[in-house]
Amino acid sequence: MSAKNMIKITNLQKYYRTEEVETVALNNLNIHVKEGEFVAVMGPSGCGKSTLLNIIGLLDDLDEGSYLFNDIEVAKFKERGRSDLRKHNIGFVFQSFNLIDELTVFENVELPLVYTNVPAAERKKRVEEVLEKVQIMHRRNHFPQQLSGGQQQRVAVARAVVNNPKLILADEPTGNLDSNNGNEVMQLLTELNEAGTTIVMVTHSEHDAKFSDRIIRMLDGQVIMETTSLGS
Amino acid sequence: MIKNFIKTAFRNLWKTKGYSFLNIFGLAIGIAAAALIFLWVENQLSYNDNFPNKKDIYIVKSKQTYDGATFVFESTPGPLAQNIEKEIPGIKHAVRMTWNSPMLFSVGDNNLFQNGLYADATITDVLSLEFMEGDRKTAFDKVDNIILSESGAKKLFGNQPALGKTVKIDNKELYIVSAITKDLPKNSSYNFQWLIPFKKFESTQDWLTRWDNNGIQTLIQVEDNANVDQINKQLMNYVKNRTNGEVTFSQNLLYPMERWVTHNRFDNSGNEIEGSLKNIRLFSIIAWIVLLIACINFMNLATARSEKRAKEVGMRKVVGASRQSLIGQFLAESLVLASISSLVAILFVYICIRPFNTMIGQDLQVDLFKPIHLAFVIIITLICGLFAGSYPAFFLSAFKPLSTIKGAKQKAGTGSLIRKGLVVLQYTASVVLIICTIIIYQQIQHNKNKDLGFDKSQVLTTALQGDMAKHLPLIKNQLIATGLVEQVGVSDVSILNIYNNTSGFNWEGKDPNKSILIGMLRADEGLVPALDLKMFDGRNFHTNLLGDSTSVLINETLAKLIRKDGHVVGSILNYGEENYTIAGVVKNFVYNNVYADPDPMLFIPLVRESGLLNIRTKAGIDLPQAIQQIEKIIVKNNPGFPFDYKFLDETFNSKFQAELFIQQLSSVFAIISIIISCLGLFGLAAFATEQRAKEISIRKVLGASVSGLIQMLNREFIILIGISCIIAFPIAWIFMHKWLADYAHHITISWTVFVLSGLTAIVIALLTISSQAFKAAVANPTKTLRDE
Ligand SMILES: Nc1ncnc2c1ncn2[C@@H]1O[C@H](COP(=O)(O)OP(=O)(O)O)[C@@H](O)[C@H]1O
Ligand SMILES: [Mg+2]
Repeated sequence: MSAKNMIKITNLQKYYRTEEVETVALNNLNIHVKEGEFVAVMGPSGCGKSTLLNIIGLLDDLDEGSYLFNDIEVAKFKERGRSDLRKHNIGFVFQSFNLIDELTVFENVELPLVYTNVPAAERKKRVEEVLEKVQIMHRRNHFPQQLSGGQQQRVAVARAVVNNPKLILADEPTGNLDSNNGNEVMQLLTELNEAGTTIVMVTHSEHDAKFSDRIIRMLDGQVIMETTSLGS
Repeated sequence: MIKNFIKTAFRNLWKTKGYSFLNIFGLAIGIAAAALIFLWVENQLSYNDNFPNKKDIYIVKSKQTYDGATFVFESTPGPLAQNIEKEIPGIKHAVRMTWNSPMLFSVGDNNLFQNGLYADATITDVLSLEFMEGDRKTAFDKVDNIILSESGAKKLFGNQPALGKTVKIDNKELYIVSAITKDLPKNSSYNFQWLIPFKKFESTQDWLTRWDNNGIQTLIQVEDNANVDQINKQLMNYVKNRTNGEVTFSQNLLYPMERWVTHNRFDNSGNEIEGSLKNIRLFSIIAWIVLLIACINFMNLATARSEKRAKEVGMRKVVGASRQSLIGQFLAESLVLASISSLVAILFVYICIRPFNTMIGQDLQVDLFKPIHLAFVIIITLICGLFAGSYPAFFLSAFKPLSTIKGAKQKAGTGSLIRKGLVVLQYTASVVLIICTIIIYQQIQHNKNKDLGFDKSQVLTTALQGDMAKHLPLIKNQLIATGLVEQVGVSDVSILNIYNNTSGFNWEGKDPNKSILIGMLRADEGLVPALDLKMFDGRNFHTNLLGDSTSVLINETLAKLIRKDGHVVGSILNYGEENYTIAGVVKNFVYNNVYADPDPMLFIPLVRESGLLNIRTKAGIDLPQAIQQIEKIIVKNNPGFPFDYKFLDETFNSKFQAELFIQQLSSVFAIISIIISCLGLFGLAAFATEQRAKEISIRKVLGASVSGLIQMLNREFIILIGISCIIAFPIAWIFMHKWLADYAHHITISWTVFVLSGLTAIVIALLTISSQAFKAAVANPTKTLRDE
């Protein structure tokens, strides 16, 4: 595969300082992700997977190292720039869905479009499209609390993709779901990947990891092994 | 059980220190502010309570009607007291007395002015004066006796004994101190430092035998259970009957001490209207509003905070807590908070009482052992604790246990709706107070800055005393020669307080059935230029009043009464046998009542020894130096008298004391209510953002900008304050419209005041909540969204 790098992180250091201790969350970490790739990140709890994903998603900043996103150095970006880059390029899916309880399914999915100033009519069209795709259209006026976990995660995925991001970051997207619902979500992600979206997914499940092109294994804030799936 | 309640209460308060602090502090300020007002109300309502005979003490009032308007004075003719004491049953004592006025006292080198009055000996019984030294029976026996008050004696003699000593008064007469009485409290109508037997005054004032000269006061003590209505019936036409129908201008009546402070004002028909009672009521309302605002805070923060404890409540219910015990728990917490607030409030009151006393010119005392004060503290604590705690108690204890444990949110509806309603109520009260403060301020400024018809700036006044009158031309020349003084004029009293008047002037064409009250000011030729009075027509007095002994100057109002166009120079006014020629007409200027159009008045040539020197200094000079020079000249020409002066604009400002008092109090309480409301808003905003932390993070992840988030968080509060303004505007308008109606010349309420007040409230609120919103908006979203 000769696609170009979408993400290239070199010598990343990330510390967490609390009053008493300093935790090294990520230690001299190097990774790259190619455009259109589906990467799974695995490792024991606390090894730094979420931290890495947050840094990739520009939700958190890094202490040292370089981060090229589409060949642009974003390590030193300020809040404004990050927010801009984020809202046009990256979609998030979290383990605990993180839907806004006060908003309906439709409104939740619509939110990213609101923040990118998409006109209302266009918004309606696109939201309905993705809701159709994740098969939740019939629940569009429900509130998150009224849905099952699987349904909620499908809404979260819909919200992540409604803006057609180039990159989707998923942090244990199936962690709170049973295997049936989990499979549905994995199916969705695979379809998105096949349609060209780059995906980085943190997971504990070897089964889910099989959906990916490449598995990155981490331990104590470092990458210890990378395996490429045979099929690719 | 109760102990457990209180223990948990303290623990919970400690766990949420920040909110507890806001809660306690807000309520403490509210209680302290209300306490100060109530202390003042107590002080006003207990005015003259120090006089054991209070309910039997009366002053004789004189009703006089001129041209359809009735005036009520306290002045009576000299012979009245002794005659009614003998003739009208039910009158126990009738005391003749002068008004409190200053005289120069000298003891050795110690010269100072002391206020006091001449009175009949029975005053000591009527007012139940306490004698510290001297014999009350004999203290008034000799005409050269003088009774000093404790503080008066101290000022004159220091710590030396004063009884039996001699004091010199006005550098002329010697008196012997015959007794020393205890000082009367500040909230009493009398505060003399000396009393001299009335006989002494009588011996020099021959008009005191006349029935048609109202020149003194008459103080009455009636018999126990006397029928005052009956006395008043006899008193009403007493003077007329006594003089066989000759003196008819005045009708007398007894006016009870119990109403001297709360009422003692009269309308144009002579009917009694409310005096300070109006302010007492106004400020009592304000005090309750401030307390309400503080309680609302307390309630709001408590409910907001307790929603966070929904889980705890659910758990308690699961393990068997009854609804009653939960209500008890929450009430205990709120009572603990209220008690702490009260303690802090007491501290505040002790700290603030002195500056507050200075501001209102009273001597308020807090005494926690006074039953009424103690009761106030306890009752307020209970009211605040129960009132503020009731809502969270009943609200929270009604939670369904299972859903709270599962973390499902209770319907935010009712709780937040009531909270919003309370915020609206709070801000409505605050905005009303802001608007009232601004309008009262504008009204006072309006009156202060209006064209007075003379120039009150740069003028200082000093008493013409001792031999000064004899050297007047010399003193004037020397003053002008300093180059610092522009003009010097003499008047018998201050132009702002012309209290001599008469209805005795007549002129050709005057309706003989109409009696017109005309103010009289004695003046020399210097007064018009010194005060920069403007002539409407004719001329000023001639220099040294040469050839002017029968000339008068009149004001425009009077001129226009005589002739429509006011051109009356040369016309004759007659007063009994005497004829006066109108030499000039002075353009109208404000005097006495600064709110009304000037009443008719005239200047007559000065022929008195005492009076007031009105000195206009030049503009742009070094004032302290000028005053020094003036002092030097005056002391040189009149040794033995201390130099004392006042600026005319100070005298003018003192006319607004009642209004200034209201303005000061209302602005203080407007600020306090805003502070309390902001404390509450701050807490609510903190709580709201805390509660929405997750939502804020998600929105941020999805691309919301910091400014967008702040806007979102502020919007809700701004809407609430907007609603408050909409409610507050008409209330404030009605309120102020009524208040202004009392003034003949008043400002029109401008819409800009409302806009300004609304904006002020919004800006202050925005500043308060934006800090919270900003903190939430810039927070790192990964912190809130961590999956753990
Ligand atoms: N906000 C934080 N403050 C302090 N330490 C943190 C914070 N977030 C994560 N950590 C620490 O950093 C390390 C990596 O955490 P994380 O990336 O969440 O691990 P993973 O997602 O692999 O379970 C852990 O030791 C964790 O305790
Ligand atoms: Mg994790």
